[in-house]
Amino acid sequence: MQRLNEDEIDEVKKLNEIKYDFTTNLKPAYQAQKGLSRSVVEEMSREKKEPEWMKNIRLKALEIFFSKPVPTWGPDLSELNFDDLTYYIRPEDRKANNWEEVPKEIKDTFDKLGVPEMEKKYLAGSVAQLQSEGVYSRLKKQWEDKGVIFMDMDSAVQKHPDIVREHFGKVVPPSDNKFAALNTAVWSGGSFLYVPRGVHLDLPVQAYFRMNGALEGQFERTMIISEPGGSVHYIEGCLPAEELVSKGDSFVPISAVGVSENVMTHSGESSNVTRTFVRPYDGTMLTFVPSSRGNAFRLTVEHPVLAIKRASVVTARKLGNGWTSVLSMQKLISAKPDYIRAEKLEEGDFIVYVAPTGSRDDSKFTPELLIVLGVYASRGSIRYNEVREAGELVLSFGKSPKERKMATELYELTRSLGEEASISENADGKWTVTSHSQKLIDLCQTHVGNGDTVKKLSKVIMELPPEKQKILFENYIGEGGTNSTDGSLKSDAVKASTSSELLAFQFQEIIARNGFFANISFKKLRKVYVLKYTKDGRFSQARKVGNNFYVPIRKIIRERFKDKVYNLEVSNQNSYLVKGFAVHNCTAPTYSQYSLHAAIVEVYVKNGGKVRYTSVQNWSDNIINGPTKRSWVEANGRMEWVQGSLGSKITMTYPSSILRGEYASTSNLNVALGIGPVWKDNGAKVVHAAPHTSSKVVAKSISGKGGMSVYRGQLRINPGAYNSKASVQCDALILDDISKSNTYPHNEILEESASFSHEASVGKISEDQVDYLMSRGIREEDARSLIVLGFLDDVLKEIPLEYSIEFNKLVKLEMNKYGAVG
Amino acid sequence: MVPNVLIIKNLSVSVGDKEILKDVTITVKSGEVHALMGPNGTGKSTLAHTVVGSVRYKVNSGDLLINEVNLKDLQVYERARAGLFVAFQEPVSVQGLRFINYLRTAYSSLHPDEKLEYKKFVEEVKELLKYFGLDSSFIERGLNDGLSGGEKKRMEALQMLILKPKFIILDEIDSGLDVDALRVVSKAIARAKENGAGIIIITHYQRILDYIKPDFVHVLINGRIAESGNGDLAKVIEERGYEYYKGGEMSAKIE
Ligand SMILES: Nc1ncnc2c1ncn2[C@@H]1O[C@H](COP(=O)(O)OP(=O)(O)OP(=O)(O)O)[C@@H](O)[C@H]1O
Ligand SMILES: [Mg+2]
Repeated sequence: MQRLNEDEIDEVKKLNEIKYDFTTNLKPAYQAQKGLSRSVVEEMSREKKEPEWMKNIRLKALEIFFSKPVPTWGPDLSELNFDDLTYYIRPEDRKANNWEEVPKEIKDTFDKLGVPEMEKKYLAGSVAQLQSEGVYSRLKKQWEDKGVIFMDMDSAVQKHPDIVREHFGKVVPPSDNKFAALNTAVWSGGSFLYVPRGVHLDLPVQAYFRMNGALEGQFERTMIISEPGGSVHYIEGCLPAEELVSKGDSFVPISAVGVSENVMTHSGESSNVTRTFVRPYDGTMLTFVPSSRGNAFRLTVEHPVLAIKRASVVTARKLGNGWTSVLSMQKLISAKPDYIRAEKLEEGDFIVYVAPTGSRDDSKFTPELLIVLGVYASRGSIRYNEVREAGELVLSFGKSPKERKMATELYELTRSLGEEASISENADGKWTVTSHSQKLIDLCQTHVGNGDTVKKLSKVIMELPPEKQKILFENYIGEGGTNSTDGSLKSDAVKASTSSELLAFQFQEIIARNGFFANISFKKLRKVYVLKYTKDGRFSQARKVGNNFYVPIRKIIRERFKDKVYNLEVSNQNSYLVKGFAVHNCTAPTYSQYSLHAAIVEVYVKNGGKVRYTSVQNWSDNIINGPTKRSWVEANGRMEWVQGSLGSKITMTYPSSILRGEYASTSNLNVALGIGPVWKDNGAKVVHAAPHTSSKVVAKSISGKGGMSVYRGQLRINPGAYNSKASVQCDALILDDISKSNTYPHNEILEESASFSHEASVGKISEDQVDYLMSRGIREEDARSLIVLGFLDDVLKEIPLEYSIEFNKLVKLEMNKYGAVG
Repeated sequence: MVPNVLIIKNLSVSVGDKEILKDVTITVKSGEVHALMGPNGTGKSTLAHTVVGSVRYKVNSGDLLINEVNLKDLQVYERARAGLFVAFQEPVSVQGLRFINYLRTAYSSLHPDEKLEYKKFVEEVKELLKYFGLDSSFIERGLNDGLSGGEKKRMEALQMLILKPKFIILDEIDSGLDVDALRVVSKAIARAKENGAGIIIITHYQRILDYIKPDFVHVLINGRIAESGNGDLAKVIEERGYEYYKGGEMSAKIE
């Protein structure tokens, strides 16, 4: 195969990562009613215009599905009501073959995403082939020249019926299990990958484009066929940068956001994270520096950002002899922001800062208390005595008469609140107000924190009505001291500084909620964040529209980036805020709303072929995930399964390999994390059906916080499979007394000359280990994650480095999701 | 510079129902070396574990301070961040936790204000491995996993140097070391002392003390300090044995 040069490889990698989202306002044209019957299946098949043979396969599978009981040998599936599920959703665009017929919403979505014209037509199905320039099409062409076929499964049924028919259901027959029967009856979506004889694909293959329901769904069907001597690495799963995401009350690094947490969206309301993604990235990273430099954030090139192109809001104006285009305020204010791919944005374009809407008042926060908290935030600290029993609230003031006045006012205010306080003049003429009121200390500690660099306002405060927040802020800046103050909200120019990054962003949000956009800049020398704004918007160049501010991009920096990147999937809104600015989430596939996923993956490795299938899944924890993954491996072929299972409520997955030809081999590396109220039923199946075959299974499970991890293995060495070798190693780590782990190995060694080894271990984290790590300064929860990662190390080192890094991160996230695991 | 001080004051400690340490007082200033000696089972390691803050060791009375900071209020990791390092008599192992990853995490936790340059850090660790006569491949090995007794002790000494603690307690760092290893480990302790650390060496043998002469020697008998003296006391003990203190523990004489 002709090799790609480095740039092309980069391009392809980039393409690999493009995940469009097409879920905006799509009304499915046809939606099967809930429940399952013969007529539902027939209608589905008719809708898809499938050949008769496929319809028959479906109907037969349906009968099998009805006849099989729900499995009772594993996790409790009793809450699964098959009549309550919707089995098929077909988006309107699917079979559009004329561009004009493509629904407007879809076209709009493409536009929003900045998809080139030809690609749009391709994606919308109105052209059979992508003819656009660029590496993707060249690569696709190269592949096609070699005979590689990669498309969604439904299209494959239409376009390559012979290949599909020959292989469909051969490795995973519908009779295999109830979920397999169900999938065969109602499958929709999934990928079809065909690698012809002797072709090696040196780049991992991932689904490039994700169409609504086309490539992913609850009953996906994936088929990978490697003809003799072919090889491919297929990666399943979606996978942009370590940036501060707004949670409404605070900002957290995107890498620390977990499933089911709330984040702020472009509408200014908070919404639930349904899935988190992390992936290795090697390509261009863009840094967007808005006019407020402190809000600079980084994004991958394809990430859609809510923005307005400057070009679309300018008017021509006569200047001297010629015409020039100038920004039209009128146009800007009436423009509607759209999601635009990051790489399509230029300096001068506008991005959207969103001020959260909605508030929750708390009568406890009286104006007086807010004054105290504001003053505390700017100049207060809490000191504890040696035994840490009693603390002291200290507010430091300068020696000017103004400072003295403020100190006195605050002292009197505190007393009027009924709290103990004293005021004193220090030797150097400065003033200090001190209080030992436990109530005040607790309030300050809880709602503002202690320590200049780490102060941050509590959730409660960030949710107070803007007018109340204003009191706090005014008192923060109103008091000189550590703040160089030019004035207050009442005067025209306002300046505030803080050494806490979080506090800076929180104040920016509070100011925005009060109708102004403050620029943040970071003074490196003094290590302080300075917020500045004027009522007329002189400094910020930002324009207010509703609860949004349109902020011009000052600079875009491009650089090469090689590390992991993150993304979130957010329900309802499909967006989140990075440093206050709205970006789109990568894909918001509807499938995560389904409770049941029963995909089938069928892999055919023919003579001397090699396939590696890597999947790292982090489903939200309302999901029951029961995929059937199986491979058929012919002589000298090799199948490698690498699987990491993190999220989901119930997982039942046992990737299997049937070694049918001599010297066929397989490896199966499986890591399952069962933390929280979840049941992980994982394992591996291997059948040695020919001589000299070999297999290696390594399964590692972790149970914590009441989680259950099960290893269920099946290994069979058939009579006549001489000199076959098999090894199974399954290790369980149990993190506490309420979690469980079980191992059900089922080994049938029916050939005497075969060698077989089975090792199993169940362990706990020893407190001595935790103590040892803690005695070297490591926090308890970090100590526990380190021990867990150590436990996983022999699997992690087997997978490509970037994936093991990814996994590391996910494990830490997962462990912290439920607090420290202990 | 004001010297740092580790104060162990009238400390009584029990494990389970059994009181093991009784009214133990030792004060260590930066740059001082103290030796703690005593028969098997008298509570030397118990003292080390108590200072570390393992929950199993219950402080019934007394105080533990580094300068003004009361260690009793701190969790184990916070004590380490306050500057404490204890090399354990029997270091535990963690399978699969690569030494360098562990050490880097520990270092960044202990010195959050320093920006750790990974490459330099690795070089430094490799150099120290060489210094201690250990193979550079140890960097990637599981923490103490499969290490010989003497290797573990040398790895503890290495960590003592790299983590830059203010106070160091070495619990029988010398046991299991061969002659050459004992020499480098002693040199390492001298280095830590030069860097201003206050050190308690728990040992049974005079040998290590020949290399690094203690400023003070304390004898622990049945959980009590039976005698404290200057560096020469160690030799005296070696000569007369612990029999001398039999029955006399209640009226321990303090010089
Ligand atoms: N975790 C524990 N559980 C039960 N008993 C303990 C525990 N730790 C220490 N002890 C007991 O406390 C006593 C003191 O033990 P310690 O390990 O402190 O002695 P040591 O002075 O260090 O002895 P050696 O010189 O043998 O190392 C012993 O009797 C020991 O059995
Ligand atoms: Mg001991």
